[in-house]
Amino acid sequence: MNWIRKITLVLVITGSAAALQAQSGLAIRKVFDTYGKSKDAVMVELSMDVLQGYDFALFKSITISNNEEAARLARDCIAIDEKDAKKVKQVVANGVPTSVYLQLPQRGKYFRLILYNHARQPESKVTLIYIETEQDSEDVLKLILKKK
Amino acid sequence: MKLRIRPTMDRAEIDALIERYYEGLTTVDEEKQLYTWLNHPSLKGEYEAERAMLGYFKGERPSVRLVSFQWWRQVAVVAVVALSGFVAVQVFTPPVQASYAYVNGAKITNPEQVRSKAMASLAGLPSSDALVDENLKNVSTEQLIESQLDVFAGME
Repeated sequence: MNWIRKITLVLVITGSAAALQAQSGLAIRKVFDTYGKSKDAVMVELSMDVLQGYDFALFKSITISNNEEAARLARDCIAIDEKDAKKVKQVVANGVPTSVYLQLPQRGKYFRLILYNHARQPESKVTLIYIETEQDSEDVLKLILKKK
Repeated sequence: MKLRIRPTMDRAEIDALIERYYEGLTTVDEEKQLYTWLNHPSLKGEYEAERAMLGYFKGERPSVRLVSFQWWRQVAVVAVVALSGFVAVQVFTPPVQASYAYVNGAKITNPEQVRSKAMASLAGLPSSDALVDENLKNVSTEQLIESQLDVFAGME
């Protein structure tokens, strides 16, 4: 019966690996899952698409209006995800981060970015973006910041 | 190779069947036949280890073990096939374009509209200059003066 045990062990290990790969493993996923389909929210997912000059393997964004609870959750999640990330830019107002741009560790051939902004004027609007790209994330970030 | 089951006993067949049993290749019928043979009075004193393994020492029929063994074997085979299929699909299927947007809970799949929403979300981010301005704005002149005066607070 040894071969049965071996097969079972291989299945468990392979299954666990597949499960891990299937998840993005990021805390910000909770924001997308919680508020993606709610009122006053716009969630976008682009996969293997070209977006006016940007070449993203994955682009996921959510914009939530007038929801302080969502803003708090986004900040908490970013605080978790930034532990392994390089903080590229950050703006803090009254002790609260209003803009955070993070470079996550590269996964395979993909560079990964998390971009967060909380605008207060003319209304409270949280923007959270997750990007995976084969281009160098520095270049992508420069392009995004320059295009404003 | 599939053994033909006969009611009569043949040691060569028993040995072959035991070998197949250890390799996990026996069918339910073959295992039943093996149990019957090993329990035969003429084999008393022989095949003790096999009989013990099959639960036949005191005439107990290990029906539960038999079912369990078969069940695990079937599950393992099905799981291996399913996993192979999953891996094959993942490896050989080209990436699917999955672009969509949810606006106030309503799903949009029109590629142009989805791209437009994506661009709008990018536009929601401040530029480099705006970030610098924001940071400067947050440096309060009043606080700066107070902190500078604190340096001299201990002097008379």
